[in-house]
Amino acid sequence: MGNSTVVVVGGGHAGVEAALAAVRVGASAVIVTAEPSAIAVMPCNPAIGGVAKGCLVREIDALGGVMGLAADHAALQFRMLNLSKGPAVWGPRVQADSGGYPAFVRESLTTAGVKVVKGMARSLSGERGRFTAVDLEDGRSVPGDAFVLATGTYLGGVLFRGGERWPGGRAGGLSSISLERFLSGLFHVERFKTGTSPRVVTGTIRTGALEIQTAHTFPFRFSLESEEPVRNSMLCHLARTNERTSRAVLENLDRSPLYERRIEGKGPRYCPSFETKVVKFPERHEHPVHLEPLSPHSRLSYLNGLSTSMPQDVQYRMLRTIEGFENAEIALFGYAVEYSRLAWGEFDMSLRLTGTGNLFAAGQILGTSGYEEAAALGLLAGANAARTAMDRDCVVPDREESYLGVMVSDLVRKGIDEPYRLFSSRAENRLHLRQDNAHARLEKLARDLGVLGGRRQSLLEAHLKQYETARELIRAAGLEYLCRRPETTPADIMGKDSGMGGLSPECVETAFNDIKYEGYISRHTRRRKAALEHWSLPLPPGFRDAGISIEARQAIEASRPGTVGEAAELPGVRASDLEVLTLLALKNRCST
Amino acid sequence: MNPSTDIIVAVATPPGLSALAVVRLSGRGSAALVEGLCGASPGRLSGMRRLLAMIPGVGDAVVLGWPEGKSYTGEEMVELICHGIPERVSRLYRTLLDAGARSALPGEFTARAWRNGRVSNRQIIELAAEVETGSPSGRLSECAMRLHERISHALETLEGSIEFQEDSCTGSAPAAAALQLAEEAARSLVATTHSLQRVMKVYLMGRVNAGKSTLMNLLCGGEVALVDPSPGTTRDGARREITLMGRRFLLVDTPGFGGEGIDGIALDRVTREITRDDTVLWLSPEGENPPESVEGSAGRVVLVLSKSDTHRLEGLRVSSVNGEGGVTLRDNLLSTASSPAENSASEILTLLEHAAGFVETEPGIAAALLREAEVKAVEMTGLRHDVCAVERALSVLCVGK
Repeated sequence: MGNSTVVVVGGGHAGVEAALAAVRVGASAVIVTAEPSAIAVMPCNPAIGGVAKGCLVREIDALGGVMGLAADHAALQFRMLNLSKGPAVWGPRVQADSGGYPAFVRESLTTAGVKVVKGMARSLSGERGRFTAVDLEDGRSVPGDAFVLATGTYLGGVLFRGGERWPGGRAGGLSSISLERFLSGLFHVERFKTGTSPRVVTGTIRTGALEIQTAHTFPFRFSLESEEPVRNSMLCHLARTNERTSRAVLENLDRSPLYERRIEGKGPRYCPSFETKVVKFPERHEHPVHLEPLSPHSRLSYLNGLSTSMPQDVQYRMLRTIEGFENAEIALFGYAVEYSRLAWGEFDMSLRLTGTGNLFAAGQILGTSGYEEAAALGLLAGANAARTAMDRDCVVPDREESYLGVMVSDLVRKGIDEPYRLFSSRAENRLHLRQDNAHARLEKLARDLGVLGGRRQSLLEAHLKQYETARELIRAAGLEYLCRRPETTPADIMGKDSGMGGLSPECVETAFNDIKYEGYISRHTRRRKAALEHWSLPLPPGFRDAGISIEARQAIEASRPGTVGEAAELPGVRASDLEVLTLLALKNRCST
Repeated sequence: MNPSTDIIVAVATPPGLSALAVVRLSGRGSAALVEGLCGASPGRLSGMRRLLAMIPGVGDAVVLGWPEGKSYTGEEMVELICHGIPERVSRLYRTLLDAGARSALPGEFTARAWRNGRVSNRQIIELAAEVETGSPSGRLSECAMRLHERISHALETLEGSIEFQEDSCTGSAPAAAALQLAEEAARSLVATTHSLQRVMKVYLMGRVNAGKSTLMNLLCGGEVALVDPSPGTTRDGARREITLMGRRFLLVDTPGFGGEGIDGIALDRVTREITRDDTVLWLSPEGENPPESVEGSAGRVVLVLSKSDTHRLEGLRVSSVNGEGGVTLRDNLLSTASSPAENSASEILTLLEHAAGFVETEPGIAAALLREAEVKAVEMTGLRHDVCAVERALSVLCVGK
């Protein structure tokens, strides 16, 4: 079995998790990248986690991935977002050392025996049903049994700033043009857009004039494997834009590639450029800008919240209107990037491309945005590619059990028309999908995928055992009522004489939160079950004449769902269409 | 099942003698069926056509034809207008059945119209509400739509404060304010569903001198019925409308069973007017069951042990002497008087009130409750995925029958 090989195109967050997962499943892995020095870098903000994204990092860890471990290792500052809003919506986030993070990941690749081939992928050899190799621009060929495309913004990447326009996947990078041409011959490809902020020389900012962003100091780690909680060694600052900043943008809007419509790809609504914020919210001038140091070893800082593709002089004008930034020097200007991604319908829930036998994809090529989203998809694609290479069945995550499942089913079933960012509100079962219980939730998926190595497996078992013990002890001590009180914390429970003193606080926290929310979670489960009863009805054959919308009919005819529930997840199928379909289905059931 | 090849027929006008009667058919082949009956050449009724016809055994009729896509149901339809002589109408109806049409189920024409997109969910639900209550329910659906909008807005604001805590400088205050607006809308919806209620008829029945009139006075809080300890004081049904918790009840006092002569006739008359929508309170100090004629008349018969100060039987004990059971009886009446709309509105209000307590400390829970409220609000507006709302509405519609 060891001779099955998964070839991954791309060495970003999706690519590295794909390669590492393939190795954990039992295949060997090769990463093909034009820039080995850029493997696992953070081309945008130097931070990992956030609301929902932080849960995803813990899910990645529960599936044996490297992101959580690397983030723990490279952490410079830790914050638990939504700390005051109840553990159901907590989002762990760390500022990460932009040099330390990729270095740690590269070391993991070496340890795992992942081979890195430097070269630009041009096309794939073989047939759609079974590809046999990745062909490179220089004429070489990298053979494999299954393939993962993790091209990020490099696939047909074009960069924009003001009136400038040049090919590339990120500043200083190349653009994968031949591969884009090859893939668009096989699949329907669309354009998306994203962007990044300027990097400034930290020493030129008067940080004394800015608000200090305080860290949270209670112990936290993303990974079960990390022996120490994350460190807090660096200060971040918060600045605010003002009316003059907005004016600088508005007066130069005709020089923006976005508003000049030279960029055709759709950008993310939830991570908009600063120009978009100014245009969309004309009444608001005070937008927060976070000054995030790239690394203790770098003299540069990232400006979170100021993503822009305005020309260089305008970027300077904007920046210097902000208090504390009067003399700011820009080291790298912000820019926008337009790239290609696979259209809706071109991949399934296992992340295999439609009509192919052994070709998978992950990350921005599937339409997502964000390191965490890419990494989680990479892990799934890599594991399924390895399983395919080794003649095993693919495994698909469940929407009710993980954010990974929510994301995959949103991408495949609902379809998206802008870069997809994960939100906690996308999950119906949010009170269950928490960061604290990720390892318990993902245990089954990890087992089904076969992605846990011996060490991770034993760590997980020990963790779950303690968690079970904590639950039993809480019940036995009759402390459940305390867990449900808003003012009680897990520490209060541990303080009681209940025998929990020796347990890991993380496990007690999970048991505590499970009990806290169990009433609401089971309420959700009951309602979902009731809905599923109708959802599981077979799609009525007479749906064409039933008076559903044209979009719904086309979507159903195109993807032929088997049940009403599957039809419900198709884009274009409106609720009123479902009403008709369900009624027809119910009538069908009565008449047969 | 292909709905359009199944021809349904119904008499659209009420039974009894009238100048004209209308019989309708819907389904592919309706025109051919009628053409065959009156000997017209095929195709005469296609397009929007009118035809004077002689139907054997029935006589003259005006026949109107609608092609598919142009009719009320969206299917091929025919309407026959004939003299409203009941025997003639029923001959016509039987003839059409013999020719291959089948009797339409209650509301089936409208159901087909809905399925074919000729009437919207909202129209159906409003129509049903009007059929049930006799008053136009535009107000109800307007209120429900506003409530839905406000819940959605509150949910969006709340979700925004969860996802973008870093960008939001305002915390949870906007979400709390939005939620308050939604609560107000829910309260006004509850009030509207109250006021749109039909009056519920409650008949007080029992043997002579079982305490009916005394109970009536107890419920009304005053002298309505003439009370006298000697049996047979109540002759005609005294009627009094009362309002309990904003809901209207028409209490009907009845002459007692076992009375003679004129009492018996009056009782018969009252018993005949009872329908399945009404409630009967059967009073007996001895716990005696009501006679079959009563049991079969009303939709709901409640056994009330009256004069409970004189016995120790177990059940719904009511006494006008010591006031026992008054509250229980009121609650009992109220519990059955709520409409589905009113229940939903109250449930939504409860969910919103519950959610308001969590906005600050547990927005995850608040959002879960709001999502549930949103689904219920949507069910009420009939715009989205509750099949039951539309099915319920269709089942009370008898349009075309």
